Amino acid sequence: MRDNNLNIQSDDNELIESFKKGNRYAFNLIVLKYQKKIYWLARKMVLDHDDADDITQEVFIKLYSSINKYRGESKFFTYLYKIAMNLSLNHLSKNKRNYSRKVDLNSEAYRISSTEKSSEEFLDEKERKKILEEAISTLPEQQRAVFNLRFYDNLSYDEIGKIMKKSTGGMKANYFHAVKKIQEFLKKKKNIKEIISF
Amino acid sequence: MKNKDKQKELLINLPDYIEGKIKDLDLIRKIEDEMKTNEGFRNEYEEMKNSFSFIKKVKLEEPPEHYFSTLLPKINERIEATHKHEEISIWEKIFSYWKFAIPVIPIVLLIVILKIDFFNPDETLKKDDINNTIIKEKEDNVIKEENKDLAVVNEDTNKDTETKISQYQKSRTSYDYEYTETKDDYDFLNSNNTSNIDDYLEEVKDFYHDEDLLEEDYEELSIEEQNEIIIKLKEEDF
Repeated sequence: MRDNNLNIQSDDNELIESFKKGNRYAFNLIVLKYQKKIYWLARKMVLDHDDADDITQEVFIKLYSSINKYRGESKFFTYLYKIAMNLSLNHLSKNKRNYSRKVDLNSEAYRISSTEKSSEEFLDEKERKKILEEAISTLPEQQRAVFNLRFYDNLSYDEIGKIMKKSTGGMKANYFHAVKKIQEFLKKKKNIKEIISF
Repeated sequence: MKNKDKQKELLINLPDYIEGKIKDLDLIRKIEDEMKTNEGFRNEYEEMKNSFSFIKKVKLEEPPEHYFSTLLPKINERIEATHKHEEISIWEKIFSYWKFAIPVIPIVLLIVILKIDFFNPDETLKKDDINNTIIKEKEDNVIKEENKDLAVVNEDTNKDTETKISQYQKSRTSYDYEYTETKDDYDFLNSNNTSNIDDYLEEVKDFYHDEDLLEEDYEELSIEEQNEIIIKLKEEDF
């Protein structure tokens, strides 16, 4: 069954109603519409592509089997994000030791000779990514989730609170503490002070 | 205390202020006033601003090429596989139950069949009646056969006894009753004929329903013979 009036720009409720009636094409459109957002949400939580891929697929498989549970009380993307966040947090809990990395600030990777080269030349994009990933990995799971949802997805504290099932005020405090922790992590690298100031 | 709480509240809103996400103008003014008057607050602002600057410049590594174009087919494949697995699982479950059901089903069927018999008393009674009738008929046949045999035996015995008795009576006519009777009676009673009478009496004892025949024969015997019989019967507690 395929409704030719539906496309990726169609309203979420329209797609969902069509999918509930058995329109597999509507489900495919939902996947195409949200696959990138869900992938990056998972990726920023678990910091690994393969794990993020597994979680992304699980999100849509779970959506397929439980679509009838969605009753339209909240926005559809909130419902989808909730599934994605729960699966990501579960994944982090199961693999806690892999994600609470202890960074050796004295390791070669973090040493910069400021006299010979400028910090910009020394620290290329790859290293910046690595440092940021390390900084995010030191965050507790909830703070990490709030930081990603606020900073990268630009969601309101109210929406974040619905996804995380917490109060709005609590989410604001979580975001502040997450930013502070990242800031402290970057500050501890005395050799990259120049990068921060750059 | 009030100042500390106020500073704390402003501090929490600093990240949103730096990103330009605060829409409350009053709050914006308060934060800017605090920065002007509080050096510590201003330093905090500067450091946080630099951190955000660093984070924004970093782009996470992109997934492999064509990843998103192949994601949907992968998801659909897994959904199909899950459905097939669920169907197989149902059959597997049924099969696993059959392993236990196969030995149990015959026992259950047997119990059901027995229960049906139990709960149909009329049929049971009819069966019993038939059985009882058959048994009774068999018993009657046996009795009839036994009676037939007995009749034959009795007839033969009676004939034999009558012959012997008549012979005995004929033999006694020439003698004195008292003397010859006593001796001859004794002899007679101890002869083979006596055994016939004893046998006859034994047979009578076993087949007590021949009372009429017994009485006639007994009356034809002599008094001594009769007494002898009585003594023998007494001895045998008849």
